[in-house]
Amino acid sequence: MIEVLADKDSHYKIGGQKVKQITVKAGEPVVLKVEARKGKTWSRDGAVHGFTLLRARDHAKVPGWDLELKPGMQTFTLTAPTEPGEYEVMCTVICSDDHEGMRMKFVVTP
Amino acid sequence: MKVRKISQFRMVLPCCALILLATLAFGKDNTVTLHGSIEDSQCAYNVHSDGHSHDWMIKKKVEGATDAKSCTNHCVRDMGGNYVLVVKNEVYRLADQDLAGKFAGDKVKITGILDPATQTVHHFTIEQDK
Repeated sequence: MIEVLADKDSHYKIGGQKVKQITVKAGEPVVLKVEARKGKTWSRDGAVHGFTLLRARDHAKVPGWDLELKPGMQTFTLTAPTEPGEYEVMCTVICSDDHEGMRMKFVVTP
Repeated sequence: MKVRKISQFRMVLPCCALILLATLAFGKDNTVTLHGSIEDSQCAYNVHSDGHSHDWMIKKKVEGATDAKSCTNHCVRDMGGNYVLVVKNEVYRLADQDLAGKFAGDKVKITGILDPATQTVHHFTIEQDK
C-alpha cells in the first residue's frame, strides 16, 4: 500500500519518505491510500486535488489513473502501467496559486 | 375459425411487444443538443474564476496559456486535464476526447446522448457554433 498526502500547500507527500517519488513494478496491483487536504481553491464538483498519471516523454494519460480527490481519506485499487519508465503525477484541480507545481515523479521498474 | 383467430393473435402479439419495447426505448433516450464552448476541466470547474473561464491562468501568466484555445490545450495536453463542454454554469464531460480536442476553445453545438448520472455526453456529433 502506498500512502500519499495531497496537502493543502499543493504538494504531494509520501508516507515515510523524504523524496516525493513513487516506485512500482510494471503491471503490479497498487493500492493507493490518499488523504486530501483542501488548499486555497478547489473545484466546483467538490474535488480539492487531482491525481492523474502521465507518461513523462509525451504526457500521454495512463488509463485508470485519472483520480479526483475529495477532502479526507480515500483508497484506490489500481494496476501499475505495464510499460517501464518515468511517469509524472499531476494535480488536475486548480488548488492554489502553486497548482502548476503540484506534481510528483512516478517510476515504473521492469 | 377459432384456430384462425388464435393464429392471428399469435401474429399480433409479437408486433405489439415490439412496439411497446420501441416506445420504452425511445422514452429512455437522452439525446440532447447543447450549445457551449470546449474548455478544459481544470478551468471549467474552477470556482474562483467568476466566468468559469481561463482568466485565472492568463492572469497568472502561465506559460502556454494566453487565450482560451491555448489555455485549454495546455491544461489538457500538459497538465492532465480533460476536454469538457461548458454551457453557462453547467459542465458536461465528453466521452470522445480526441474529437472534442479538435474544437478546443471554440463555441460549438453538440448533439449526443447524455448520461445524467455522470453528466457525460456519449456518441456525439460536434460542429462550430455561430
